[in-house]
Amino acid sequence: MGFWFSADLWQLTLQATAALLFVSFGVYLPMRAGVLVLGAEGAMLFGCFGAIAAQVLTDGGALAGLLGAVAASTCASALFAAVAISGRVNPIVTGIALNFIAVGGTSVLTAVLFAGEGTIVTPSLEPLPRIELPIVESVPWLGDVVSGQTIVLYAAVLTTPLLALWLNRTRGGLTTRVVGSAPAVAVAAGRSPARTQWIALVVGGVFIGLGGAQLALASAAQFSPGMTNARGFIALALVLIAAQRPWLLLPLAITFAYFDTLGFNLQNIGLPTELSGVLPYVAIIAMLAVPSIARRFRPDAAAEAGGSRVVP
Amino acid sequence: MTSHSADPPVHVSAVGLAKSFGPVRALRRADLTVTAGRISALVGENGAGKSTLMQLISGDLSPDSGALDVSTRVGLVRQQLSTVDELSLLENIVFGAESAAGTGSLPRRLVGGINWRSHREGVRDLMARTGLVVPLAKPAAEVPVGVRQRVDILSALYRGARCLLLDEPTTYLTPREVDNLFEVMRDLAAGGMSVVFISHRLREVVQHCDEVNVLRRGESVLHLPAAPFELGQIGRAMTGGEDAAGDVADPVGAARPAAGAAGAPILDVGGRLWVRSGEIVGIAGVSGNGQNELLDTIAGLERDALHLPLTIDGRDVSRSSTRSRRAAGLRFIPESVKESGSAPTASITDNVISAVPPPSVRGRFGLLRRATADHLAQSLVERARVVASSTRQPASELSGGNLQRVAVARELGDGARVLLAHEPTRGVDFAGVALIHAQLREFTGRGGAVLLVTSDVDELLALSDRVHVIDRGRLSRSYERAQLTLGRLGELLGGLGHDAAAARPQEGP
Amino acid sequence: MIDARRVLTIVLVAVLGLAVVAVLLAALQGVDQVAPGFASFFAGIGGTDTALASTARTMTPILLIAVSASVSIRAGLFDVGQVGQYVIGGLAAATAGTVLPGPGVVVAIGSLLIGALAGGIWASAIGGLAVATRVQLVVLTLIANYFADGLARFITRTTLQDPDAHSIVATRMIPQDAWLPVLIPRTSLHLGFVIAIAVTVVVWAVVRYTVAGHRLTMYGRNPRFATLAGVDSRRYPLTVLLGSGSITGLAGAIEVFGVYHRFQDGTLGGPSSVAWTGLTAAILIPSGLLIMLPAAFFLAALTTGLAGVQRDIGITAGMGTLVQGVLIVIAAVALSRQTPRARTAGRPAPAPPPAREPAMSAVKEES
Repeated sequence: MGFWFSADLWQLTLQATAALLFVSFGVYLPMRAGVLVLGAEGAMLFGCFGAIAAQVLTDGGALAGLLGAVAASTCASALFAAVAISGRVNPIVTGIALNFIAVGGTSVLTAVLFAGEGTIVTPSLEPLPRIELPIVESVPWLGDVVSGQTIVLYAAVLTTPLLALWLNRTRGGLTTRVVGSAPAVAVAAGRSPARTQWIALVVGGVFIGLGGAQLALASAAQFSPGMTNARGFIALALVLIAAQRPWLLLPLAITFAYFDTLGFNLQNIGLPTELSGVLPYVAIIAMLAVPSIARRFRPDAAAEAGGSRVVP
Repeated sequence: MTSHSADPPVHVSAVGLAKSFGPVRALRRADLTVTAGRISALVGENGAGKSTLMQLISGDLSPDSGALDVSTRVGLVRQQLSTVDELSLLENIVFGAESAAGTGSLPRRLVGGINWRSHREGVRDLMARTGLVVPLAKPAAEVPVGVRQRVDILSALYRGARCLLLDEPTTYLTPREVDNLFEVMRDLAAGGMSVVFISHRLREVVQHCDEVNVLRRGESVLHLPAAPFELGQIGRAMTGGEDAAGDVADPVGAARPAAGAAGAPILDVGGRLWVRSGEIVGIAGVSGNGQNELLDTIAGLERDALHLPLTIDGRDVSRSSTRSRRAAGLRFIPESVKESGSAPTASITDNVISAVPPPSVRGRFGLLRRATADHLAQSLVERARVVASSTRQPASELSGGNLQRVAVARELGDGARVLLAHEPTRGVDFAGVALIHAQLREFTGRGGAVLLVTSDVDELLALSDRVHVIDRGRLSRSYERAQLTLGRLGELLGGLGHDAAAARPQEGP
Repeated sequence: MIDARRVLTIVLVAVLGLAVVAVLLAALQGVDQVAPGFASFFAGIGGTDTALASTARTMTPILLIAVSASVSIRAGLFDVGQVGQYVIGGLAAATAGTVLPGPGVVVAIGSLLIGALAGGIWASAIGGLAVATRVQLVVLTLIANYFADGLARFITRTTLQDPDAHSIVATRMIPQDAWLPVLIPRTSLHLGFVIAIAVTVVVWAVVRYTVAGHRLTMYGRNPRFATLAGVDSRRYPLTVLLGSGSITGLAGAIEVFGVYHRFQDGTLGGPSSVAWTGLTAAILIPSGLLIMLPAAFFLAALTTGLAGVQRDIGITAGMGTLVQGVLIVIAAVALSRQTPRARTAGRPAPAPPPAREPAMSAVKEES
């Protein structure tokens, strides 16, 4: 299987998947409620910072980190909701502002809390514990890849079907979908779009926080200024591809995470390190292109694209 | 709540309702009584206050003054259907009533789970009782508009409505579907329900309703408790006695004088559809049967759709851009001028010269001659009798009718040879309709050609020289106006009838 | 066109910006540090000729990028890919600068044009990708910013790397006779400042007085109406992006030829790129053009002023970014609170496209 399927590579892929998947959920839920969360990148950065800051300040270990990440990112999402939903400011503008605030705010907070700049890493920081899965653990390859991941990965994988079920089978899910595609209909039925979108954003903030915690605490626990590295924006792209199929987020996140991880490991087979800044983006563009290429080859493409054709 | 011992129960009783939105008095003094077992009509021109009255009755709004007594559950079916495209029809019907049958186990209630099985049974039962049958599993986006309307009605009934308010329900229906709809309504009324039918199409009202109420400028001006109804009387009440009402009352009566000088075709689409100089050719059909695609193709907006030879004044433009088609004399009034035929935030002047200004306002070095543009706009505003304080005013401040007049006058300006007019009078008040019709006739009078696409059969028969019928993307042969009656047109609209052979088979994509 | 409301907005934002700086200073350094902090702040902006020249130099790319973003916003296209266009423009110009033969003036002019074109083509290509994939332009351009950065690093490292530079990823230096001349001796202010102002005035005049400018504005107000009038809705947005992208590309080229004299990884792109600041100006005042002059000056002053504070008192460099973010929120909330009447009369404000809409659909008026 060699390099491309090595257990190490795939183990890291799944580790990266967990963070990306939760951020995608955090973007997906509000998207179904009709809000494009352009501030996910910023919320995730706050989440990463919260994970580290909470650990250092409370000395509470990994659990404190997890809670800190969720709290920080939820606050950021609530700020987004307050400005974009309650303040009725264009969500694109709000998102860009939130990303500025996250980059600047974490930098200022680093200076205030840790009297320094840049990366925060202290020996006392505790990474998320690794969980060994019984039975799976002893399967060759699979044991190395799937077992021994953080709780966040297992939670992310379990959340995928739960999110889909919730959207399809519950009152809240139905309301969310109606608000997202026909807010006037929701209003006519006595449901408040603003309230639904607020809830979606806040719950989304919790998801994004879990993603941030995974990013900051999965391997070497640390915070560095540019660590989210566009994952919040990538999540936006994945969510737009997934559209009305939430389960699709899982394979999409794994695919992107693979190429992301691959980029950093290509130097092992003699390719330049700088490919790590190119490969993930080529991958995401290819992933974005797949649906439109598939559309072109579908027999009913014309009908889907333009309704009925006219023959005078 | 008042009870009448012997009479059928009164579902809604409204006396002297008034409602204002800021300075606008939408309703001044509206009365309405809705009785179980009856189909009442509520008619009036655009802006007469029909929708406001319905929203008061349905509880969406509350009246400023007057007495309103609603004694049963009311279901409002809006003209703008409220189906959600990405939801299945079952989800659409159940949305808003999920908890009614959705009780179940504790964990399900905790997460707000919906008991889809029991809802499906309930809706199936309702469909069987009413005869309104729809494919529950399909997404709303995949079913025709008539089915979506049934979904809205089912949705109201599923919520237990005993009084149905139908706002312009026949807009998107063929005459046969209209008959079906009224059959269902008749059954529902027989079962003790009440129905209020809101329309501006008097013919349907007269045929199908038990009583008629007329609103004009927010006031109830006429109540006819029983048939027979006289169209002229209703029309006069709607318009306030203006003579033009005769047109509404019997639009089919007077055959249009045959166009004098119908000459060579100005617009020719593959030899199957053509419009000659001085001629108005109508395309009849229910909205959504390919009218948009046909017009977009002719206008050059959708160039991949078909490759038929398309000529304007004999010049082949089938491969030309929209811009060069316009240069050749093609003009287009889109279905919704507000959405596609104007820029609301731009000034009237900018709306007159559009994004591709006419040569007269283009100066040297690519400069725009603003003063000339203002003159052009000023003269157009005067000619089309547009009510505006200044041509610098944003178009959004114009009423719908005035905006439509600006669009029509703009499109019929210099160099126009053939006009594609899609629902040119939708949403326009009575006086505006007459003015726009006059503009179209004046255009053909000076040698222009008009392709008129409208779902309003009265308008179609009043204006057209020849008529094609479009159905599911297929265009029939043309019929001379003189050969057509309303009844015949209705037959043709109801699925092309025995003329299907005349239609061409559909080409592959 | 400059109207009173917008000038008022700028003044309001400037005052609020200073207030935010004061609050942050008080919170981080103590109340007693506010006064000296402000002294350093203003000294950093214009205390000396050198400081003032540095502010003007900082303002140069901010102004060009603000104008560029403003043009695409005016056409209703929410292109936030300025960082990518800036990097690609800078890389292309640096490459041309080291490769083109001939006298310095010719090399400089040729390279600036190539840089501009590269930025435009990049923007247009990303726009084309948005159309093909039906993904919102705003999402794709955000991702493209990172892609451009990675791509420029990769290309530089693998093909253009200066063999003498060991610790940095950078191209070779541009010959000195092709550098943009310094305007005031012993400062860093270069000719690019004048070019930026000239471009701003020209773009303003074109938008205001020509048929092409009218078309741009009308397309932004309602693309469907413009399409019916004969604007090709498939090509036109890409043409606009080509034009606006080349203004940002030019900014990158000017920065390379006026300041760094080579393309060096991390100088143009990244999360603290000055291109984000230019975009901020365009977001604060949607579709403004001449007003970008004071707006860009203000944002440049914020940057150099805070650099002064950082030097003297020692605050973090992230503060400038934080202040920008807070300012956008304040200004956007203030603008959205205006009466509907005032909004209809003004320029179209960018509004949120719904979550799923055709990628290049233009923005609509806020409800």
